[in-house]
Amino acid sequence: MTRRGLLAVGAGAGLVVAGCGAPEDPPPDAELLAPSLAAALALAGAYERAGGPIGRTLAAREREHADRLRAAGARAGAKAPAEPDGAPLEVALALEQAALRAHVRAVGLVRALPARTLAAELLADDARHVTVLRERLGLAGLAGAFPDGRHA
Amino acid sequence: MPEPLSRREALAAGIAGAVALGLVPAATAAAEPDPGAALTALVRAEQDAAFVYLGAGLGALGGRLAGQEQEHAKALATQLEALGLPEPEPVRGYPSPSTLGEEALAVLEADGDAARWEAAIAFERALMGGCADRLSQLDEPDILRTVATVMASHAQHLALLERAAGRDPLSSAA
Repeated sequence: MTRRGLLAVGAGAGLVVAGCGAPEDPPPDAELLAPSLAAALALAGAYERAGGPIGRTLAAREREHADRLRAAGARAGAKAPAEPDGAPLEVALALEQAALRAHVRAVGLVRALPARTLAAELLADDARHVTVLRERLGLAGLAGAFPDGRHA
Repeated sequence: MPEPLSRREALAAGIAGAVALGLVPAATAAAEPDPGAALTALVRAEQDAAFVYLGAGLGALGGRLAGQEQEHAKALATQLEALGLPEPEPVRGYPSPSTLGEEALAVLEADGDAARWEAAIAFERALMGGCADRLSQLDEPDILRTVATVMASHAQHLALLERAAGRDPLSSAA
């Protein structure tokens, strides 16, 4: 085989590999936002079951989150985060933490700027919910400088 | 021997060269995202916030917030170092309007507790806005996650400050 031929085969192989998609390529935005939608719907249900002024207010807020995620193209049907046993607001707090993790993952990977902004805004709003719930449960309002639990 | 160019400097040099050759319109080059500049501004904002809360007279909550702002500054500075850029010098001594933003100065200069809480609420909103505005300047997943998480932390600070000011945090969104 000539040198030029060898180069052509190499380039062709590269194109084939590129066409298959690099293994680290993130999924489409709709897929990346799907866990956030599942978490928002789970939270809406948990807050509706909790009832009372805080439950009604936060259920409405989470339904709004779900609407915004659907409008951004989030895929429906992702697996909902696991609900632990416990009092309704303790369950909601665990689900809020799961929602934070879903939003943090999405914000780093989605490609469209509106989707990135949405994930960051939902992260901020759910972080506020965590603070309100922690106060209501008699915990310190601030668990750390990074609401998703990361350490600097 | 000249120092090697950082990624940011190489990018800037490349854009400048392209503009000089007429390959890229100057307006396009000016709008090019600048992650280093965005992160530097965010580190500086968190350093300023730590300085403000240490001197604002907001009691135990102020001390807690100052500690968290320092943690934010440290996390963001780590990302800045990864881009090959130095951490900006923190504010030292009593700042002037030329060294500290309007919202930050308002907290330090507020007259009375009620005005101080309200100024701190406005300051936290400004810090959140600073993070939100810079999401478009960034592209590395880890940096984006750090900035968004810092933004979420400010949303938590906002909730606590609203409560301290006698407001219901649930009556408003972040």
